Amino acid sequence: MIFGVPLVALASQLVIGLFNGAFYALLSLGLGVIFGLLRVVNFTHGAFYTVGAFAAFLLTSYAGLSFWACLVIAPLIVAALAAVLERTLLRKLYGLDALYGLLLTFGIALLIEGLLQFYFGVAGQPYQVPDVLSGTSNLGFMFLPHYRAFAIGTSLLLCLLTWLIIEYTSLGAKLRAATENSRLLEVFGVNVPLVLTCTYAFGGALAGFAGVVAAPVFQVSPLMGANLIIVVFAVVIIGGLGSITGAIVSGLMLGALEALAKVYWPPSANLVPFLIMAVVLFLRPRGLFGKGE
Amino acid sequence: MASASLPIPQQRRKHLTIVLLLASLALLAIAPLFLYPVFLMKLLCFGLFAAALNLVLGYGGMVAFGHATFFGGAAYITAHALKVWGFGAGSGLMIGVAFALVTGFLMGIIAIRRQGFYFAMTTLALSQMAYFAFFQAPFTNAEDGIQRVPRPDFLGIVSLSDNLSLYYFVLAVFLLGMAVIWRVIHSPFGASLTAIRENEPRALSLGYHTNRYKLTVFVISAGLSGLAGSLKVLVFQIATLTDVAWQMSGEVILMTLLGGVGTFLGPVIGAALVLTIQNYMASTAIPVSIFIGLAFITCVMLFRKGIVGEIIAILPSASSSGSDRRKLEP
Amino acid sequence: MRYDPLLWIENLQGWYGESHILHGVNLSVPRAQTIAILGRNGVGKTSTLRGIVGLLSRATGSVRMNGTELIGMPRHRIAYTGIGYVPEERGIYASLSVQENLDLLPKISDRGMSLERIFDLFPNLKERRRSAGGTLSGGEQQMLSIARVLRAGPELLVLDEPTEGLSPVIVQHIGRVLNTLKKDGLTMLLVEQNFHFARHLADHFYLMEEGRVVDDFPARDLDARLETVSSLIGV
Repeated sequence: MIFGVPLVALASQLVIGLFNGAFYALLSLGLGVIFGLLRVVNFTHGAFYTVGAFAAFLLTSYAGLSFWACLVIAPLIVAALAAVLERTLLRKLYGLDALYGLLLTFGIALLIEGLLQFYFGVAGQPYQVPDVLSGTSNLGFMFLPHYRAFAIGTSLLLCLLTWLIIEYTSLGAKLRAATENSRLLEVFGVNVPLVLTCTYAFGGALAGFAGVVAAPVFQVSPLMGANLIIVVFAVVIIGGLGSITGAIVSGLMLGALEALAKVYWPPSANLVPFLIMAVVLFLRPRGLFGKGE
Repeated sequence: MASASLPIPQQRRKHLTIVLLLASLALLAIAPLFLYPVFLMKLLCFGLFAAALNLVLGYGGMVAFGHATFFGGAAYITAHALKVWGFGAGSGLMIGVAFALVTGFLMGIIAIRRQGFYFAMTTLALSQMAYFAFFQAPFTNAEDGIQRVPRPDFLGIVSLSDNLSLYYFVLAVFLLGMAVIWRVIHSPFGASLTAIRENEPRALSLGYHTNRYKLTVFVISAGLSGLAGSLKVLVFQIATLTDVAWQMSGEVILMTLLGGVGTFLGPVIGAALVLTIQNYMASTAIPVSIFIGLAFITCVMLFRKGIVGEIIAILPSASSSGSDRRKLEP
Repeated sequence: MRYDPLLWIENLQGWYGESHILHGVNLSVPRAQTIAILGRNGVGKTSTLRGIVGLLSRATGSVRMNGTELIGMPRHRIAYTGIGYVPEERGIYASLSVQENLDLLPKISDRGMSLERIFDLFPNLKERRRSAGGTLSGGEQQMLSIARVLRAGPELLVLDEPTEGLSPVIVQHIGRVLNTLKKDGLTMLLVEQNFHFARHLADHFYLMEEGRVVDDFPARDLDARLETVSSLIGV
């Protein structure tokens, strides 16, 4: 018993919390990478997550593809969609105030969600957990659902991979250089416009991947990303935009804290991310890991 | 321009504005003879809401993404005061506005610590927090909302029970709200605000307490948004979660953007346009968010100045002055 | 012999935003030569170089590298015509290590220098290869900025004020390096306030005033013109 809550219940809630936290981390990581390079707060990110889940749902129901195939193909579909949006719309706003980018991506998000709503209705669609992952393990102090463990593990692996690419590869060095001074990098012969498109597509793919992983647990519905994205904004503010570690750590932390809130005072669970954000803004306006603007 | 008096084109434009104002006033007075008063009242409520947001968005240069909290929050409070506490129409509006002012102060004091898109994201997140708070507060009845709110008399003498008399009451309150906005814009305070928006570091170095100005305009804007929300309760006799949801914050930004950010009448025109199209869309099976999304995309890609802004830009007299055209600043 | 310069600039007009700063620059850089542009502050020397690499907000006229027109070319393709740009502000990426800065540029030809050769020319960089670019001294940054483009293998080195704000020892070092490069046959276009530095390096001089080239002469005529040059650039 911890503060009057049995350990089993607490541990199970924590797993759920980390599960949510993994999504926060994946989404805020993508948002942060996009923001760092494109200077765009990508409101469409939640819609990318939704599109990822829908792509998996459709590929499985109509094309009979397995969950594993969807895990690869759906993010690629989202990446392609993101690349098209960047090339046709977002690109034209780069010279302007960054807030136009925010408003544009907000509009795109509404359009995508509206279209999904039009074709599939607001009700959620079920998506099966793959058989291999459907069991539960008894760890002695708790029951661990395999699928959730898998989701947390792969999400964190993907975050780690992204971090390694950005910090330790020549592609990553180019991304970081473009964040600092992209015009000069172009003079040096780097195709920065292409780098921007790829970055936006990559961020979209991360969100799409999160959507596929979320599909078996949450229902696949047009608005699944819309509410999530606002929590992710709070995560991003808490972690500090553009900080990769910040995105991952604060994503997981927030998921865990939300879970604890659910155990000890359920009505507060939805408020926790925003309360923490308000406190962080007061104490450290640049976020816990932010270095400045 | 260096000359001390208003340059001729600007003077002409001022005359034009006054003529336009008088014409629209006359139009509003006779409008219920031709159009359904409830729709007109809805238009006035959202027009005031958008114009209030415009104070922050257009004149303060801050993209506030959480104004639904003031609009819908005040609506809840007014609805509760009218229905449960038996308030009159006037005091019901006032308590709604008071609530909006207080929440505006709280949200403002946190959000103005960051600028640009951080400000936008912070206001959005805080308003989402307010949304959940309202969702869980027992008096709001969660999904059902507060329904069948009475329409009490104003000051105990003016009956608001029929739609026509209510229309003129709403019109009067709307004009009062717009007058406040006009005063704010055309005061020394408004001028300082412009200076801060154009160049905050410079304003800071000139000794302006820029944050105090930004907070003040944010609170005024919140109060007026609250007034609009409370009015809406009188009209529709209902307060629901829709009014505090983030989609509402987005819609009102669209109204302002579509009509013309930083123009006096633009937001009202934008509101009229959005509501008319929404009204039409309601009879089809197409989700409104498709229209809102497309409108956002078109507006941002093709006419960032908004309808009124583009008209001003086309007018030959406008080319030299940007004084009425506000642009978004981070 | 047909005159076939590596870089040929004809009537280059340039703008920063609304302000018109280059009013028809004419200039040519012959192969394997070093050209220096002299002039007071603000006459358009740096802008001319920025016009070559596509960093002005608008440019008209003609800039041809090996016969290829650069005006209107996407900025990221210009380097591949053989230009290596060393900007006035050095442009070191502060969050990247020295090594990462050195490996950053795409190879534009097989002339790119090996790391050994680079560290041979700039031994300091070898010691600091793990340090972040932002922690380097001004001199080290300048060396890195030059070393970085040499790795890419340019045919023409465009240098903007390579000695600005550096100590005499470093200036000497950079002078030695540039002389070596010149002997190896590298073509250079140089903007330099340090007249004495330019004097030991350049084969030909251009004088600029108010966004135009007003005079040009070979290095052997410099002594005869010393007085006019001095009065023009205020040495």
